[in-house]
Amino acid sequence: MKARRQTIEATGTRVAFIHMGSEAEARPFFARWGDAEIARFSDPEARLYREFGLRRMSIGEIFNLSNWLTVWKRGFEAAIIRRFGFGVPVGDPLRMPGAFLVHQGRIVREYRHQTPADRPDYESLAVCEIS
Amino acid sequence: MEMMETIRNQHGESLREMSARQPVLVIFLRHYG
Repeated sequence: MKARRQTIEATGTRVAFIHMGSEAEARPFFARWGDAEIARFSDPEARLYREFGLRRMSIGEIFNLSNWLTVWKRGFEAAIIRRFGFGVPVGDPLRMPGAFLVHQGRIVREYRHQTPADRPDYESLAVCEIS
Repeated sequence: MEMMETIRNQHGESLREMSARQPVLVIFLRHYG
């Protein structure tokens, strides 16, 4: 995580995470992922998520088997193959994730997940052409 | 975009303040743990 952040920040773009846990819950998580210093915003009520238009999954999406197979595959990769293990999830598994490039308080680029298992190209998204 | 000013990171900085000087790639997590 830290190496990817440093690659992006070398281009002049900072990186920040928004999460739905408390700061006390987030601190050990980010430390375990190797980037304890990264900027992060605790948003337990999902107010920023709603402000950025990140909705909860629909009933159809929840029961879409192909979505869940991909989500479980990603979870397996993280927990077993990359050896991060299992824990009690913090946050809202039904809230869609997303990634946005924000400059001077305005969204200038965005990636809205079609499924929770999408993998955006963060390095490309981080390029700000107006800075 | 009121929440960009209201909610602050672990260093006390809002998203609007963070993005004032340089762009910020904001990644929203679904859950973690």
